[in-house]
Amino acid sequence: MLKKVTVQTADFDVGKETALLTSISKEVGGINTFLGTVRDVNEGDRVTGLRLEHYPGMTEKQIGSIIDRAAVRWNVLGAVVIHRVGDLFPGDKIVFVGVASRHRGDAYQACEYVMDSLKTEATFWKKEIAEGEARWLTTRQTDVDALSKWQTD
Amino acid sequence: MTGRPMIKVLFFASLKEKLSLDALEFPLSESITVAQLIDELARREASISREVLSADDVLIAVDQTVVTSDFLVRPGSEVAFFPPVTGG
Repeated sequence: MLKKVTVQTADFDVGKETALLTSISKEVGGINTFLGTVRDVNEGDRVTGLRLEHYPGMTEKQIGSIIDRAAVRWNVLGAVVIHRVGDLFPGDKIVFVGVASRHRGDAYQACEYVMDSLKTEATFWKKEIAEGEARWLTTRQTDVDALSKWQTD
Repeated sequence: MTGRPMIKVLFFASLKEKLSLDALEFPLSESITVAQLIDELARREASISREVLSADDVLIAVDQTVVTSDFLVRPGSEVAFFPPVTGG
């Protein structure tokens, strides 16, 4: 399984990352990608910027484990996760998740699972500059609820 | 250097700002629980507030794995305190 996890300040090229997933092997039959970007409005306030912080080392390790868990549940031939940190502005790319599988069903589900898990587990913190004031964001209930659909008994 | 056994303590995001501190080295010669460590830190480090570290929503990681406050911290460990995560 190809596994690429990067936390970086620099922008990234979605085409390049998708090409990497395509090149894994001729076995790949479906690639699902998710791209998260910075919105200019949050909870009714105009957002002018975000500052993202992470726990170097732990974050990368956590995302690696999330990918491994996905690979136990679905066919995953490769996964790429790129998350940006530092100062970001509306329209900027924040996060990329791409999963390559034999068939599309696995790629869809594994990609969504990785993203939902990253949201609630991975050690990133967002500080939002809205209406001229900086504030740390708090966990959204919708993100916690999104994860509950993946729970198995 | 063969000094006393230490642990590394890290603070992130809002906790780092509340304490005005991102990291410190703390002497630890025998294993204690995270809860005991919080008490020790508050007693011996002027910048550490027990209230801030023992708040209900504070998460704790020892050696980069999330744990509960009864987890045993060993000399040489890396202990981190942080608020709920908000990435993605």
